[in-house]
Amino acid sequence: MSIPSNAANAGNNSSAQNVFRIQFSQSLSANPTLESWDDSTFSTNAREQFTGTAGNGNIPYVSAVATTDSAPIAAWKPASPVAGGAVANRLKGLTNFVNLSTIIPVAGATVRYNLDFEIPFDATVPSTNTFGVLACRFSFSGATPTLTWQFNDVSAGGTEGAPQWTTLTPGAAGNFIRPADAGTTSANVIVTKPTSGVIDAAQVWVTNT
Amino acid sequence: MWMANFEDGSSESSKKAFWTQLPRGKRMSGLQLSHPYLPKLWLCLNGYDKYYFTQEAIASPSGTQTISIIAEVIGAHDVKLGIGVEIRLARTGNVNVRTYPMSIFKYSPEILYDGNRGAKEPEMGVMEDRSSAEQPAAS
Repeated sequence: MSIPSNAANAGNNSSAQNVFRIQFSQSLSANPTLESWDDSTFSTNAREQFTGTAGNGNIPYVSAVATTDSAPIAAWKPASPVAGGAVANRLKGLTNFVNLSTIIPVAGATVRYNLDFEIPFDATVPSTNTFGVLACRFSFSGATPTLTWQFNDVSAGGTEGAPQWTTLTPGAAGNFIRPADAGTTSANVIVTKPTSGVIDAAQVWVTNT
Repeated sequence: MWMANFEDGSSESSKKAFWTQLPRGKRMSGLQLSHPYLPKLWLCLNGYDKYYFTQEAIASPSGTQTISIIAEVIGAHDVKLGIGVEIRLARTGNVNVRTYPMSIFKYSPEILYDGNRGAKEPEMGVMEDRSSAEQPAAS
């Protein structure tokens, strides 16, 4: 296992179930949700990933789909955000989020999801302030759970049939989840804007910077 | 901090136990939640058939590593009416009260505890000052 590395079968054109996952050390009392916010105050959605650009119709351009219960159909990204929670959604705080499972996780259980980065031709470059943070909202009534965020690590040999889960390091010096072009190497994790319209990033990488 | 009162006069609180560790053999007569900034204010539910407590939290793989507790929630069910009532106490101190059809109860049935539905009608409000008996603590 190593970081940087890309997540196996990440993105919109994928029907994989084993891409990203969160493991809970203790039982929950409700189904968890996946959200995205500007920062770790989890209070605002002003960054460009939430407002979008004219090039993508001014809608959130990071999407997620829950794959815990079943595999999604390829091209799962919704054309427009769904109010509240859904299996697949364009992420924007509590306005648009993803319901990660239909069965309340017990201690040791995981929920799985995939991510898509839609990049419009007029996206701001550099993207320093484009993206916020992912977040998982959950409820519990017993001991406080620890959450372990993981991805199916291609560099560790992870595949859909035989996933290899590498743990993301949280915190200020932790990892980042980034969109990337097809054929990206760890030395140069970038995504290239289209000249018109939008593209879905071909890969999603986990990096240290 | 929550405090559960039982029909035999005993009580349990989050100082001593997790909610999920409460005994199943005793019926609850009421459930209270203390306000983080107004320690004399106890939000109380009593006279119901079922009670529950849960904490709402949020965590991120980036940014802060610590799990942030967003709110504490107590609730109760009136089985005959098919109605639930819920008090959500945010860490900011804001309090929201809502009623809902029991059919849309979103939490695990395992966090529901039997209540001792008394002669009193369901009520909800501010309890007496219990700060001298047991001080609320940050949880």
